[in-house]
Amino acid sequence: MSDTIEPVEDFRLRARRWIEANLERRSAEAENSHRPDRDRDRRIQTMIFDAGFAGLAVPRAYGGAGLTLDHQRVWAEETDAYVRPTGYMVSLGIMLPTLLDHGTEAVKQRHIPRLLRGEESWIQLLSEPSGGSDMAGALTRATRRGEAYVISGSKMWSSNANYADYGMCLARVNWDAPKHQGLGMFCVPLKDARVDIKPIIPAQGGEPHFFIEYFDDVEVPAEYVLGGEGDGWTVAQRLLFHERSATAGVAYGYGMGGGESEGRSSWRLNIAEIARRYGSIHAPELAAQIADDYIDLVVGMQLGARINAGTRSGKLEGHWGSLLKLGLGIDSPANAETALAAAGADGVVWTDGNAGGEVGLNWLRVRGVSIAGGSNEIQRNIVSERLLGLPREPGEDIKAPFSELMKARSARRS
Amino acid sequence: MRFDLNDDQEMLRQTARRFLEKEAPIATIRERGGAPEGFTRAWWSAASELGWTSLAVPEPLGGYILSGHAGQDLAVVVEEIGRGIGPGPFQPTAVCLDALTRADAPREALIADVLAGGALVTWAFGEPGNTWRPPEFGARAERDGSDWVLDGVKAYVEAGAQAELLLVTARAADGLVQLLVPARTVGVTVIAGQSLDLVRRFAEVRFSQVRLPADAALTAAPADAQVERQLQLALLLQCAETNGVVERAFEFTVEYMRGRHAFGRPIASYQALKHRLADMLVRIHSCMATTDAALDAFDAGDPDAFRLSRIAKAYVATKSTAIMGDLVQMSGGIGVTWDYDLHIFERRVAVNRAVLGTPELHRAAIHQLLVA
Repeated sequence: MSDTIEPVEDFRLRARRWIEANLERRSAEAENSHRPDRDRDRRIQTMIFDAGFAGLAVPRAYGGAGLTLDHQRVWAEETDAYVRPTGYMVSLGIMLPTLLDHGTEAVKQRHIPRLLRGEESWIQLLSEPSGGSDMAGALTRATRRGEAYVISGSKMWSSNANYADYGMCLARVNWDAPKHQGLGMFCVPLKDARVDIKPIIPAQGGEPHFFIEYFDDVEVPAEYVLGGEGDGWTVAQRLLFHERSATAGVAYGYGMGGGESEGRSSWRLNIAEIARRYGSIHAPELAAQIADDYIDLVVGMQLGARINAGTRSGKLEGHWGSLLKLGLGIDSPANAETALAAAGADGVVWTDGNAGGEVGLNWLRVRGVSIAGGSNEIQRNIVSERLLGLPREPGEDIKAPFSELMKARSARRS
Repeated sequence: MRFDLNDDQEMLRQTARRFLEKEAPIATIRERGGAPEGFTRAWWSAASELGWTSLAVPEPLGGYILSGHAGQDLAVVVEEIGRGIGPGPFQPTAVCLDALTRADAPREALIADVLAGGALVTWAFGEPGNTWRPPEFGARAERDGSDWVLDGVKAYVEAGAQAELLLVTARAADGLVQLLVPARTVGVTVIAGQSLDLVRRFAEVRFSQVRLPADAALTAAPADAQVERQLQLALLLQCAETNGVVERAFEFTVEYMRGRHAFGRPIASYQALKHRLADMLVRIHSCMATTDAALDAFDAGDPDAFRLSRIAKAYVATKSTAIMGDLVQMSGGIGVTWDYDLHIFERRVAVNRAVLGTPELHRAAIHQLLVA
């Protein structure tokens, strides 16, 4: 193999030929499904790996293709109309690049090839029952014991933890250091018998997407610590940067703007279709609201394309993914409310069994998008502080030892 | 501003910005506010010499092809005009040039004169009572032998009192016709008007039994498709201008909030305020995204430009007005004073909101598409 990198447009043609011959076009049904199909994802990811298209920007030493992020972008574009193994988005779009940045050599050699083949799936373990947004306030404990650490505590709001193999877990190693400095990031084996994983049933009922994990002295070898013992917050920042980049459709992710069209958006109902189905498309009192909702849908996708173009050209940082997440977090609940208006009583009262209630259940479900993955308020902080460069609110929790913050908190409660 | 401008477009943008900052700073705009005319012909000639309007014209007719996407290139200039609240009839000139170059016999001498900033031609399109839909127009042109006879009233005609020539869109027996009418023709009455904008003047123009030669019509065939094309271009340049206005106003308001202290720290550090700025940034980039997407469709001759241009106008006009209101709120008391510049920016946004049809009107067109 020569050292010259395959030109991106040559790669595009080669990828296109393979995709057309091997991947399946997305059907309307598949497009509307929110449920991950693990077996299907595994099968497709293995095919992609065997054909040499997995981890295009990952060094060959770790089982990748040794190409560039431009090749990865072209791959995302070319696969847009096809069934993709979206169940590996977190593993490959967020966890893998974090591992590349901060993992020990041994762990990278061992696990990155497995991630690329779809044999392993990794997740992030950041939020806790005591705090969702304030992740640096983690109470999960990591204690050094010989050549390993022992983790105890609990994490919450982890997506698809039920079938994950490892989780990157933010845990406190030093209680006398200031809040952000006493943390480590540990790769915790989730199939371990000392890990108990419970589903969180969502408000709309049905299949759980999020889980809560309890760790009862789970052992993590020292080589499974990312960065140094006290570098957890730095690693977490990097992880979140990769998450925003994946959202913005740059780097390793397929992107939030990518893969969505007017007919299929996982967080929005097509309002014209809903209004037609429920007989309200001609209702004069709804005309303005329906048209505005449709306009917001189109503009939201145009915004995704704009930000994706900016991040991929290098003119915008990955943090700009937060702008897209915020837009989605504002517009999607509004869309769900418009759908309630368009469906009227038939959206919340139905006689057709499990097929009914789509509009009402969607309204219950969609509020999640303005909370999960960093609430709208957190995204507003990121947009104003990182994109606009505005000052932070002063916090009382930056310099004091964490143990003192804990004492002050209990004193206020008593 | 799009993120994929090429080097030539970037150069065009910088040149336009420098020219506007030097030749038409806000202090000048304030001075012109009291004058009967919003811009001087000398200013407009100087702007024309930069080649701004030639971007709308193909090279054989004396124009200049910058990127091959005329809509994009014109938008680069007009966004800068928006940032500086620049004077001058850029958008109607670009639209009229588009019509002149697509006439049965392109008006080469006139085009050259317009490009040099000599003759001023503007588009007489809308009619009194917020009438912007051609099927509802009252202006009619009838054949009398080989002549045309024009009757009716046009309103909201930008620079109508300064233009030597009017491009009038009227209904005829078999569709729309576009007539080139010298303002001094017998039977033409121009009533100069004012607007909320400090330097943009609009006129009402009445036509009573105005007799014109056969070649006053730009095309022999009905002009419906060309009129739609002109409306798309006008709407999108208007949106791009509004985007420039809002972007600049947002920038200086954020700067003000960084420097303004209250209760011991910059007001820009309070989440109650900076969270609103974050929401505004989402909308500002959304406005730019929808404008650029529609311009791309326009430049590609994509029939979807009809839908995308209405979406852009409906979205940009609504959001920009809301953002300007919020920026006033962020500025506090100074934001409602004459001496602070913010109202100068608000004024242009409000005029652009309504001229060429309100967002409500264009939203109704979108609703029609959904119902169909």
